[in-house]
Amino acid sequence: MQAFIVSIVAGCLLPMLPIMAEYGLTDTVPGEMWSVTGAVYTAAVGIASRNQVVVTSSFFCSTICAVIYGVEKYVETNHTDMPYVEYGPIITQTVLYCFVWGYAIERFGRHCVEKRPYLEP
Amino acid sequence: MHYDRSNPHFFSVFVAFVVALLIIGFGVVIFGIDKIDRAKPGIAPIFILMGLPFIWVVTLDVIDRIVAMRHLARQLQGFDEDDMEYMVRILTDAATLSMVPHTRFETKWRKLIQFLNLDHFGTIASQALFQPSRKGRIRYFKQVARVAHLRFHEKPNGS
Repeated sequence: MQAFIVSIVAGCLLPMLPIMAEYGLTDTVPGEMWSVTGAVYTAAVGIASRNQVVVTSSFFCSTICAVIYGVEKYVETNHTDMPYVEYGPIITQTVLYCFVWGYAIERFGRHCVEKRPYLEP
Repeated sequence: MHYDRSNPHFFSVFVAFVVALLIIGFGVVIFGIDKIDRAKPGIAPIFILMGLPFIWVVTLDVIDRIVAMRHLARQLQGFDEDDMEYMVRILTDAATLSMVPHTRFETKWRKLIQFLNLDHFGTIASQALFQPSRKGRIRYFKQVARVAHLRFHEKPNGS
């Protein structure tokens, strides 16, 4: 159980600190913040995972988040309207939400069911 | 004895689906997807289509691990204290990577080895039983023994 709690703190709470700080300070989280966090977080979860589905989908979702980030930046600098940007935040939030849960469920199996330590030799 | 995964595990699939549905339902509520979807139709299907299969597969994997542990516990039910001691001895040896035949080659040992090597759940249980961490192996075996209602004695020096 201890390894699971450490895992949740390190893998779910710490990566979300910038978003929480942003929300606490400015009362809003910009779209780029969601997409850049999504791109990095999903890739990190995929690297740490041993589940093929998580690994494969993490690379796919990380790329989607990176593309959304790029499009958001393009729209911001060129002052153009793109319907793609409208759905950007909800897609990145969905990706983040699913990967946080996926990570927690996988870690439950690893640390609580299989009793693997957090730092394996 | 032939082991395969021919019987459908409808219960596991169903439980995993219910868990996935609950998690996605929770997400819909906290993100207020239903309200956003009324203004911009198409948001809720994106959320559900992306999230539900993902959570479902991950949950099913964990349920498989729980089932594997229970199947292993069932295999250990005929074991006595001597057998348990032997198991602890081979698990304590960090070099052990798979189940080796016991000197007294009885049916229960043969069945256990076949289960660990040939069965779908046996393979999952074997990976956890022979994990790299010695501490993890013993803790996993202790948990399996508890499920099987077997007495487990770990020697103080771990040997």
